[in-house]
Order: sequence, then C-alpha cells, then structure tokens
Amino acid sequence: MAQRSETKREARVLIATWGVLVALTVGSFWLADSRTGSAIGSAVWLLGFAMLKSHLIAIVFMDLRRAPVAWALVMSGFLLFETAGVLAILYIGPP
Amino acid sequence: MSSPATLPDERRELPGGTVIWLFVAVELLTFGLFFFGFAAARRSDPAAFGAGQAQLHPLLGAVNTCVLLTGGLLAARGVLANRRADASTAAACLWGAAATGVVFMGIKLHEYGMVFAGGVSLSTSTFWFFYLFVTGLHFLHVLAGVGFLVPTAWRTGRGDYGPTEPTTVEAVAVFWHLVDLIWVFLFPLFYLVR
Repeated sequence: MAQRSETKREARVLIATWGVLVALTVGSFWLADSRTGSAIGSAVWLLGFAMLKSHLIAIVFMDLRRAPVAWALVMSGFLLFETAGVLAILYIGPP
Repeated sequence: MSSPATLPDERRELPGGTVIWLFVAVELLTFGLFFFGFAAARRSDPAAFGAGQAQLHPLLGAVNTCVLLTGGLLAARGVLANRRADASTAAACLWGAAATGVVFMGIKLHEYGMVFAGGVSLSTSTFWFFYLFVTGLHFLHVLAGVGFLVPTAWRTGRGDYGPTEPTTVEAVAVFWHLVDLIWVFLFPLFYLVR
C-alpha cells in the first residue's frame, strides 16, 4: 500500500515536471516570437529558461535526486557554466 | 520508503551505473564546446547568423522540443514502472518514448527538406555549417536512442528486467534524457536567441 502511494506520488512529480518543461518551452517560443525588449534581455531569459529546463531534466527525469550529491552538484555547476559561458561569449567583450 | 531528497548517503547511487554517466559527461562537454563555438562564430558575424536563423522554423523547433520532453516523461515513467515490477506499463512507456523519437526525426527531416530546398549546404555560411553539423549530430543521437529503446522495450515486456535487474532500463533512459538535455540548449541557441 505504502509502495503504491509512493509510486503515485512519483508519477505525479514526473507529470508536473513535464508540465513545467512544456510551459517553459511555449513561453520561450512566445518570448522570441513577440520580439519584445532588447536582444540581450531576451537571450538571458531564453537561456535562463533552458538552464532551468536542463536542471529539471537532470534532477527529476534522469533521477539525480537519488544519486550521490556530488554528481548532482557537478551537473548543476556544468549547466550553470555552460549557460553563463554562452551568454558571455555572445554579449560580453570584444567581438 | 525515504523520499529521494532524504535518502541517506549509503543508499544513493547513480541510476544506470557509473559508465553511462561518464558517457553523459563526455557528451555534454562535446556539445558544450560546439555551443561555445557557435556563440563565438555568431559574435563575429551577427548578420550572416541572423539571416540564416530567419530561414529556420521556430514553431517546428518548439513542437519538436515538446515531442522530446514527452518522450522523456515516458522514459522516466518506464523506469518507475520497471522498479515496481510492472513490466507491461514499463514496456508500453518505453515503446511510447521510442515513438516520440520517430516523430521527432520525421519533423526534423521535413525541416531539413525545406532548408535544402532553399539551396542551403554545409558550405553556405558558418551558420549553416554549425546548424547542419550540430543538429545532424543530435539527430544521430535520437536515432541511436530509438535503436536502444526498441529492444529494451521488447525485453522489458518479456520480463527480462524488473526491480532486481534495473540497470539496462535506467541506462537507456539516461541516454534518452541526455538527448533531451542537449536539445533544450540547442533549440533556443539556434532558433530563438537574437
């Protein structure tokens, strides 16, 4: 009984995560399509959404929640580094 | 049963085993370098990249993102069902994940068809080189993912895995999520960022 309710709870977490991921995708498309604000501001939001989505995939879908904490920290650090690096290359410093 | 966040250290383990995660690390570093290269090339020639990006179809990219995310949900649900010894649900979810991969490739091939019909090739411009090379490499990963999912779904339905033998199902799911993970960066960077 406890195992069944745990499974249902885990399934609900997966579906809620999928809902957030799809909403962020639709939001990204809408943000880019509306072309509101500056290119840099828009890029920060778009890549910020991508970073959030990648974290949700890594932690929930890939189940890093159950992994040794160091692996989750390394993954999070890399995704943050990748996002910040792309933004820095695109908009900071000489072309 | 402990929730994942409160698991004690000694019960924490990498889903699918260490080898698939080392592979994930190598893949993320490789695609990460391509994304840095794309950003640097775009910085040096924004006009050519803007012109190339204007020929893409962001709506198809967004739809394909949702298709892959749905595949990710199904693969994760399949892993969960496999852990609970529900072989038929696990197999159905893995078959569903494979089907989303086929849909993704169908949409991508349609998109490539439109691009090539416009006279584009790898040598047209730096933008098109990056676009075709990086999305092509990602496409091959989707193809490989479907190639892993199909026999795993079949064997799961036959009862070859289950809670005592979860590694194969988990490793295939991790690979499938890696394909998602790469795409969620690729989509905004190539299609949306101005």
